[in-house]
Amino acid sequence: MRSLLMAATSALILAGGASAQSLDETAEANYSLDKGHAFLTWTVSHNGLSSYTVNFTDFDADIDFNPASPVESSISLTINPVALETNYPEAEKKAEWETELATDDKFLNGDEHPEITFVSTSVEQNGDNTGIVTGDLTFRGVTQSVPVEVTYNGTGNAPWFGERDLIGFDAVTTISRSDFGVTAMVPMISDEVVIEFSGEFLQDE
Amino acid sequence: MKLAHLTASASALALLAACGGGESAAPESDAPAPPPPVEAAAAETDYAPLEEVSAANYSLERTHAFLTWKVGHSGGLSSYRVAFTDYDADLQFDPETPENSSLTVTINPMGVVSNYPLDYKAGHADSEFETWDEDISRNARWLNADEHPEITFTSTAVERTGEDTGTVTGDLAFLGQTLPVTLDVTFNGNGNAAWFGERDLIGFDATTTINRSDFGMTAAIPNISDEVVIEFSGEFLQDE
Repeated sequence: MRSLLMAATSALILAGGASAQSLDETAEANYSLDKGHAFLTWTVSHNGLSSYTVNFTDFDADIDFNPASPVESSISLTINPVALETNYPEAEKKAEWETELATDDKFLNGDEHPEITFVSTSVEQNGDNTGIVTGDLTFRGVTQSVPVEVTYNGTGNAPWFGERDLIGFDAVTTISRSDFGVTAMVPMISDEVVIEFSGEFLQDE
Repeated sequence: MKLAHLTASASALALLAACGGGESAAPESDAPAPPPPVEAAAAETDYAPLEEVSAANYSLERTHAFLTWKVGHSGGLSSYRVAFTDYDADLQFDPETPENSSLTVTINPMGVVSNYPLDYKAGHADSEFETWDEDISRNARWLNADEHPEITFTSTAVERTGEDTGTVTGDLAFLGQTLPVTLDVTFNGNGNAAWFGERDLIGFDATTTINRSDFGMTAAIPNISDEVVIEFSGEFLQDE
């Protein structure tokens, strides 16, 4: 636990650099995920000995962002559950393992439920740059309300995007996979799944 | 603000550590501290030996091991996360006196996965590389793997800072520079798996932050942060 707190503290260093603008200089607009700068992972504990982290590699999100009143913002997110990266070390077994994880009824069951979606239902601000985005998470045919802790990292501009704003967020939530019917190997593989996001959104043209 | 969020994130991860059934799960923090071992004449340790763990050489269990690095992007708008996929580590572990343990890690900088989803060639028409991952690995601005085909870490000192925590200081050799780096390490416990017989399986988390400029990598600072957060979580299997 101490190490994880230290990790979180050291991750702080990465934020708060040279972001050019603040919230009140940010355009009220629709923003789409900048897929080249977005990471979505889920992590389970393996036998309490290590954390097992998998990347989703095919997902998209849209934000209707209201910087003057962030609570009036909304987000929708769609994930393709069969696009996973496990970093498994042997190529042949890696493909087998990722297919099993993606499609087996014990795990993501992506053939039967080819989309995971999150649609926000309310936004609450609890700090200058932090808030809770609550939404409906639909996974394997089950829809549950899930609160997500969100940090707004700032607004920037890149010359190649002209006047369009680029906004960055971190987000984290923990779900119990058993709530969605995924009970295989609990507790050797933890019921709790930590889902983390860090990424940027580009103002639509 | 940021801290609150990240602390929450860390708390969520702590939830995970408390799950599952490591054999020698860490005592809850509100449990009374065990008395110092009688033989702890060495002033540096007030902590109990790690029980039920074999003093032995352990090798990385590569199917349960993750090593990533993160940099801030766009001056801190997001964290950019890349995994090393080809690395190995050996641990000589002394549970009685963890300070006597040692660790060596070797990383192949050609094995990286950034999960880049876009058409790299479309956006980088002049690049000599075929993929963004190859660019990260081979570009002299980044990992420069053609010239420096190995990144290594060799421990030089281990300190215990708690029942299950410590620091491992070692020499990190990267891009032709060798500098001392200190990892914050947590011992997650000892488990046994039926298919490994009597061999112990021990798990660790580790993290450190380096300045890449110390190793001569200065490209795109500060748009891409100088600071690089390196994180590991994984298991080591006792050698036969």
